[in-house]
Amino acid sequence: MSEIRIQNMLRKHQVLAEMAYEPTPLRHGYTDKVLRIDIGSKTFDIRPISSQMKELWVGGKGYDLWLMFQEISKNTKWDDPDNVICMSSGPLGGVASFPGSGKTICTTISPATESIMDSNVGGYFGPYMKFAGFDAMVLTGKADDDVIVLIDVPKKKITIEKAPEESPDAHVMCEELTEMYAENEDDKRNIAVVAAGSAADHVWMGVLNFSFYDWRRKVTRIKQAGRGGLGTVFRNKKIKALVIKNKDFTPAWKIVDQPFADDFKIEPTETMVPLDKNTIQTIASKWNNDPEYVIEMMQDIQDQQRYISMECLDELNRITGVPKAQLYHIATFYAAFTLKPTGKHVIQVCVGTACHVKGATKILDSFERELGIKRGNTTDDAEFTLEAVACLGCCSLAPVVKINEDILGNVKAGDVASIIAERRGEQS
Amino acid sequence: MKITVKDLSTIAAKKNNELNTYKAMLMVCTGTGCVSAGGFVIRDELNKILEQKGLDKEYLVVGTGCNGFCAVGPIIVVQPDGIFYQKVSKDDLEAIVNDHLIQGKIVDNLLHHGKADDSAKKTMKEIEFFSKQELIALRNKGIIDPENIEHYIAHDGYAAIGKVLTDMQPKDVVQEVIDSGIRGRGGGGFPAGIKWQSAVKAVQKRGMPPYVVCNADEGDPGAFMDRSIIEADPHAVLEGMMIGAYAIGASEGYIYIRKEYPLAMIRLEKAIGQAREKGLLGKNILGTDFCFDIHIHRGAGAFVCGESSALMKSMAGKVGEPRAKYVRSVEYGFRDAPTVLNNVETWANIPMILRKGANWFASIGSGDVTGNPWGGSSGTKVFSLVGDINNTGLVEVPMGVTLREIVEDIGGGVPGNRSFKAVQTGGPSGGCLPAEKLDMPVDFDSLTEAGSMMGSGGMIVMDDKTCMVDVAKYFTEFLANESCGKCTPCREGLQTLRETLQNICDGNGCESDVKYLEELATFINETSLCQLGGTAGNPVLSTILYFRDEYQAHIQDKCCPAGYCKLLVTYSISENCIGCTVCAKKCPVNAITGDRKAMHVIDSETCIKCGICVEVCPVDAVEVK
Ligand SMILES: Cc1cc2nc3c(=O)[nH]c(=O)nc-3n(C[C@H](O)[C@H](O)[C@H](O)COP(=O)(O)O)c2cc1C
Ligand code: SF4
Ligand code: SF4
Ligand code: SF4
Ligand code: FES
Ligand code: FES
Repeated sequence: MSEIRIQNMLRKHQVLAEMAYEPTPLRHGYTDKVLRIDIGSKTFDIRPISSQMKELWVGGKGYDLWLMFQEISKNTKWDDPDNVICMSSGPLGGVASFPGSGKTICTTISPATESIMDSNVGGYFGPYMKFAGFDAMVLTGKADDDVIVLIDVPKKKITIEKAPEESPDAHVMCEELTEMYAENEDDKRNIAVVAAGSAADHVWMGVLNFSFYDWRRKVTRIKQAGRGGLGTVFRNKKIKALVIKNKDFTPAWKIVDQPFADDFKIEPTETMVPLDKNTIQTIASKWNNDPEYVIEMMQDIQDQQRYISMECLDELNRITGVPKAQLYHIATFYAAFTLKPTGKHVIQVCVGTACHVKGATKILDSFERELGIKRGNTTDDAEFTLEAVACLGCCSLAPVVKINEDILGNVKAGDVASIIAERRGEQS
Repeated sequence: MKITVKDLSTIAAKKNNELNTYKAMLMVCTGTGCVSAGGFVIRDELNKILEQKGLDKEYLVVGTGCNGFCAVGPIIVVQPDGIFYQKVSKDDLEAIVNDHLIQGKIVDNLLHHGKADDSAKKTMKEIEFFSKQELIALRNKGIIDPENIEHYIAHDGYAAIGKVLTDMQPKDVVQEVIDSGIRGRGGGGFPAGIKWQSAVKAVQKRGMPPYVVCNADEGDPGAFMDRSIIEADPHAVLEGMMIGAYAIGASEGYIYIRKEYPLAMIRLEKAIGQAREKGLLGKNILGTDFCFDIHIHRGAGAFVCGESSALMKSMAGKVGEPRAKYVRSVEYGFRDAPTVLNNVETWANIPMILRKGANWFASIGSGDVTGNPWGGSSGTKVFSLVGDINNTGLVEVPMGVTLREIVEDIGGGVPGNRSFKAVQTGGPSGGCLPAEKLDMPVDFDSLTEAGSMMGSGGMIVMDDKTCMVDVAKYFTEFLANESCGKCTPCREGLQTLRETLQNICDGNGCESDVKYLEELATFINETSLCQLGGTAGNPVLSTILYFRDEYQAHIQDKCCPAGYCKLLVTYSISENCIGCTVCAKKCPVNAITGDRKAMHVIDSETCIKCGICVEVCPVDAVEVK
């Protein structure tokens, strides 16, 4: 994602309300604070939680329902400004030792059933809300224009901002906001986004998406609070997203020796023919436009184009009806796909077990050194892409390297320079 | 032309007669390993030479699947005598034709030499690698043309489905498979017959048509059994699936295969095409009421998609994230219908069980499976024997042979003057077994008991220059990379595990680390959603169990006994140096100096530890300590 595009997006933000606050540290699993935000009057309110409430309702759904009970009346309709979305985590929220302790529990009046509903969801939001100093949160009121709410823990402030340019697609918006508020690649794990997309404007069962950052695939992924139409209520309040920027969180799993692939820019060369719509239609027809075969279609596109562009995904969405977010999820989940153009020679160094035992690491190091790029990257001249893959199925020839369709067996670190030179020579 | 059950034996007889008219057949290995070294070129060139000499009516060239002994490929076996030629190049073909075929003289310089007595071995039977092997799943490897359905039929192919369709009720088929005791070859070792029986029950209960699925995802790095079975004998898998489909009442089957296996995919597609043409797939198979067809789905490079629920999601065109295990895929599987998922090797075994009978199969292997498939491990298992071992390749042995027989007798031991350190089985969910365990039998239950597992059949031998902490780190890193990210213990826990291991390898470990690793690995195993995370702690736990000393050496003495971990070793040149200057020329950073014929020296400040000097030194004078 380009820096400049995101910067321009941020420039269009307009702060509508702002409050400085001091985050309350956690004590025995609680901060004993509720954050109430009225989107309509643009006011913030941090309220204490009494020991009685804590004893009786514990947290999670209990807190949510108690808070709702105080906010709504029996006449409140789902699309009244008075309807609230309550979000809460429990006393174990954010303690990494228990399954399920990363959840957020949400409640609201459902547009689908017109009654109170609850839904639970993963993602980073629940724990980060705790770390930001709140056991629960209440969203009420209705904004005039699309807004986002930002809880910036390092800067100790909460803002409501007009945010006109962010994508209406939740999966893209989560990426954009993560990119926008992270200082650098590592910092992306400090961002939690809650968002609803354009579908929620139109249906009663719109979901609410909660993001987390997948370091391995370098992509923001989302979990859904899918029950009852929470996203529809969120959009009805004209909220695009809710963002928490967490403070100085140095994850234990910070990668030591695998520096993240730097973004690289290469111009398409003549061998990189952009696919026209007819070609995509031809590929899709080969699979009867059958949604069950979108993975196969994407493989064929990847084979022809050596990457999958966002335009291809849009076109596939049009042809097969598979949601864009799902196509995007597939494109980022499976190792076979790349959203960036690859080089003319794709060098795959096998780092499967047999090859590892036979010294694959040294071979990979040699390729990185000789090409001057790290694994997962492409050289500036768009000639070589270097990948580490696990097992090419020729383990008895270990260590193995595959360059486009050629398989080289029993490779030595000392051969690497000449292997590259040979391929360079081929095309001149 | 569509055929009937009776036609099978006629076709077989006709084909065998035709093949018998040849004086000899040249079986050229065209498995992936040999192809990468020129297998196709050799096959085509050989055909050309025979044609030029007008010998193509007398000798037949057959491109076969993997012969098994990939270490010495490309391979040609001259049948019916079984003369075994290894490391054949294009230039050797004239000699094979002129000397062997025309003059009847064996080409000595292409023969394999035994390790024990260094004598030339003429036939496959004499070669140690093929000794002790017993072929069931790989019964047709190297003796048929996988792209020709008539070759398969000539070797009793499709006889089992013929028998099943004419003589057996579906429930008898299920019972036969239960009685054979066959347990799944894909990892879990769940009895196949019991799985089929559950599917039958689920079909009765839910009234939905079921599916049979073949798992050819083979994500285990370091293993290539499934690929080789498909490349060598694709019809065996199809026939197995047909029998399974008949048994549970399915009319549609799917094969989920990795895209990284293009050759296997092509052969499968051809095989399915030929089977359809002959009326072995499609409507009214072999003239009976049975209708069944098979389709292929391609995987897209995610290890977790080998897991049953993830695989079925991926087949539906979705992201392969597993779901909780209490919903069983035999009841709610592909398209939410009852689904039987079995591994390639499991399917390939099925026709033999039906042809030769459950008792025959149950009598092979270890333990006693009569009345209870969990009672032992019947049949054979295919292993890919790789790593630091002389005879790398594919072996099929009866369950219950010892590790030593595989590693030493068949594998020919560790190369060079190195010593055996460990053998890793079970893929990333398995464990590393030390030399003390070499005499244990290889079967499902013994391996699990020893802290490893059977897995799909990868067997990676490691010599004394392999660092076990690094191996644990390697597997953890692999699994962390392949974690689907759905649940926290696996996604975040493996990262922490990996970082702790990295610290130890870098010499930054502290005393409490080993205990912490054990705790965390156990915790990940216990709390993860699917079996990827559920077994992810095993490589760490088994290396700690058997190689605790090595962890201690890294942590306390900041040294890597195997001389592997980059930050803990230095490169130097010993007195053995003869001053040949090769290393100095090859060093990428010019860290080596010295005069011709004089001892050379490495400047450890400049050296980047790339290992090239070790590779090139003719007298092993470079030391890594
Ligand atoms: C993470 C994971 C990966 C797996 N990968 C494979 C695989 O590549 N091939 C395979 O046959 N089974 C694999 N399995 C096992 C399958 O889930 C399933 O048990 C097996 O295919 C069933 O066939 P079987 O009973 O014939 O072994 C895997 C399991 C897990 C948990
Ligand atoms: S254990 Fe790992 S692979 Fe399995 S569901 Fe959880 S995160 Fe995904
Ligand atoms: S290990 Fe590599 S860098 Fe170091 S001396 Fe040897 S060749 Fe040179
Ligand atoms: S290659 Fe070996 S023998 Fe030759 S100079 Fe280097 S260390 Fe000495
Ligand atoms: S481990 Fe490298 S090819 Fe299998
Ligand atoms: S590929 Fe030829 S022997 Fe294995």
